[in-house]
Formats: sequence, C-alpha cells, structure tokens
Amino acid sequence: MRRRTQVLALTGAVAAVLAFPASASAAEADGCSGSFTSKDASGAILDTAEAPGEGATQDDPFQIDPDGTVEWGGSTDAVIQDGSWSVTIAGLPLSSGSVDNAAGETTRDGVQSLADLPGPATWALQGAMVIPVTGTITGTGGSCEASGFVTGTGSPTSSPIFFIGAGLGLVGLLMGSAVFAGTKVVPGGAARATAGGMS
Amino acid sequence: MSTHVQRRPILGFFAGLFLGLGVALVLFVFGVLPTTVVWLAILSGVGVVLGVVAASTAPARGR
Repeated sequence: MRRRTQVLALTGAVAAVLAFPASASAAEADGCSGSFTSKDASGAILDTAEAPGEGATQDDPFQIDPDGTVEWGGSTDAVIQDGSWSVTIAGLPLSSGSVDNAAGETTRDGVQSLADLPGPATWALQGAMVIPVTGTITGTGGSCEASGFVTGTGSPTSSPIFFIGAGLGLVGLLMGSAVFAGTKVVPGGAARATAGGMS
Repeated sequence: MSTHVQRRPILGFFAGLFLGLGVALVLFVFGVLPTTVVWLAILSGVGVVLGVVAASTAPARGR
C-alpha cells in the first residue's frame, strides 16, 4: 500500500510537469500600446520590441544589457486617472504605486538606465534567462495590461545564478548519496523501525 | 536478534529539494524554461518527491 502511494505521488508529479501548459508565447497589450528599444553600454541598439506586436516573445525575448538603457514610449487607449500600477517579474510582484495623472495624459516616454539595478536583477540579465514581465495600470477611465519576455546578454556560465544552481545541485547529489549510504540494517525492535531522519 | 532498516527520509527530502532547485536554476539560466516561480516550485516539488521516494525505497546495506 505504501509503495503504491509512493508510485502514485511520483506519477502525479511527473504528469504535472508534462501537462503544465507552456507560458504565453507572444508580447501582449490590452488597453494600451508601447514600443521599446534597448541599448548596450556603448549606446548601440541591441533590440527592439512592440506591445502588442513583434519582439518580447518567449521564443524571441527582448534582449537587455544590464549596463545599458531602455528607451520606452507608451500610450493608453483611454485617460486613466486616480488608480494604481504594478509590475510583476517572473510571477512575483516587483513594484507598485499609485497613478494620479491629473493632466489627463495618454502618452508617455522615457529612458530607463539599468546600471542601478540591484545585484540579483543584474545576475538575472547575464545569460539566456527568459523572464516574463507584466505591467498593469488600473484606474478611473480604463485599464492597461501589457506582458512580454526579456532576456539578458553574455554567456550563461558567466552568471552567478549558474554557479548557485550548480552548487545547489552538487549539494543535493552529495546528500542523495548519503541517503543511500545511510540506509542500512541495524539492530532493534519494531519500536525503532519507523525511526529516520538526518542522523 | 531482531533488526530493522534505518532510512533517512528527511535527508532525502532536503537532497531532493536542493537538487530540484539547482536543476531549475541551471535550466533557467540556459533559457530552457521561462524563469517563473511556478516552474521553480514544480521542479523543487518533483525533487522533494523523488528524494523522499528514494530514501523510502533505497536498498539497505547489511551490517
């Protein structure tokens, strides 16, 4: 019975992975539109994307240089006032705030420097990580939601995340070998038969 | 004298967790999977299940 439960749990876990639907494969925007141009540290154009439109898809993510900049421009279909905005990266809420827009603007543009990003964000932009990004604005008058995929530059093996992953995997393998080495027949009665753990 | 098999399910749990996290991060950094917490949780969960199952079914060494 116990063996059957273990097999069912294992089968369920594998099935969950295989059945998990692929993430959205296109940059999307609802209630707004935008265009983006990334430049490297020397100012040369690295990549462009539009939402909705070409670029920033899972197969062709928007490439960003952590030492460069992103020029952006966007417009909303309606005047959005007295609301809130939020940005989600990799499925986690990154930042949020309030929107006043007393002037009733529907267009905006700017240049975002990426040099001041915190360490882990810079690590994520080294290598070929495909990172989903979603932004929303909601308020009186309408709402806007845009999503796409970004990636970094450089070799994957230059990213600290690669070494963290390899290190964790190595520790897991070593602990796994200790599991097999530590499984042994020992003297004792039924009372100890269920004992287990780290020791 | 009676004997029993001493197993290490908690060690298996953490072995699977670390292995799952490590594999997930390496797959992320090479762009094989999109970097999301969902995939991180799935691969970690699969690692934990495999670790506990391995610890529960590993062949015992004799004394």
